[in-house]
Amino acid sequence: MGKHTKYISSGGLAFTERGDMRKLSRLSAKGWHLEAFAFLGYRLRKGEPRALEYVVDYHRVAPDEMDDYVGLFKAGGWTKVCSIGADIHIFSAVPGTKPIYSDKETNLEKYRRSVRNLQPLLLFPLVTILLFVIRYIANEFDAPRFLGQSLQVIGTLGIVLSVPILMTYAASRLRLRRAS
Amino acid sequence: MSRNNTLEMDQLTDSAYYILLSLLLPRHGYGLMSYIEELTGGEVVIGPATAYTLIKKLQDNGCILLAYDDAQDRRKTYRITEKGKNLVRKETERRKRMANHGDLAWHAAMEDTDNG
Repeated sequence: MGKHTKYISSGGLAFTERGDMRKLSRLSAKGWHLEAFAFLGYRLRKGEPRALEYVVDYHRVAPDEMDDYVGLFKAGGWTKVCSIGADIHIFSAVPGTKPIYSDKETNLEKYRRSVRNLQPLLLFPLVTILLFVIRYIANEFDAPRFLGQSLQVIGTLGIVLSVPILMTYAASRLRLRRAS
Repeated sequence: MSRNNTLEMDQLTDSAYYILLSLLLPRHGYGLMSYIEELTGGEVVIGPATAYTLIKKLQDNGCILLAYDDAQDRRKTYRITEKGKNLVRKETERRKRMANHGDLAWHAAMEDTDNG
């Protein structure tokens, strides 16, 4: 870890995108610059204090398109800092750089994409509900005890996963509605 | 990829209009942004994320295509297709008519004020 790296938490991009980006700006002004995404937050590295603004973009960028994508942002004054997978990317620029989205329509599509990215994860809550239905039926029909117990354990695990997934999904839908 | 990615094709957004105009000649992505700024005397500036979104979209809709992929510097060049050309030509005419309607309304209003 060392003195040159520190970790800060994120409220979750779907919940606190703007707050997170503002926090990163404030920390850059103190010499702590975003380096990478970390588990539930960000990894920062110590450097010279700089005035920097941060923005998030959602785009699924194939590896062979990354140069093009990043090149466009570079031309607009934005430097890519880090990504999560192929979908979420953070850029930084000096204050006063023109925004990455210049019209409302395409800005809205950014949030539409973020909702769409989360949709496959809805499988977890769906399967969890299904498990509880099966467990209920199994109980009704006097199924072996271990079956009911295993279903209970897996179902509980499913709930643990499903709650944050559903909250994030709801938040991203809300964000889309607010932007509309 | 192209789900929900279709453009409302009868009318172009301002940004899509300018991007199609800029690709009447083949250009790189970032060449297109600086060209639009130059063409409009700095009045219109397209953000990089907006440009990327629309390049993908116009490509999906067959309005523009990759002209060539320069393997040496790995920059992609785009150009307009016939479909894109027809669309942007119609749009230029439509916007001209709109500007005329504006002029007509202004003149009529001013004449009315002068007479009254």
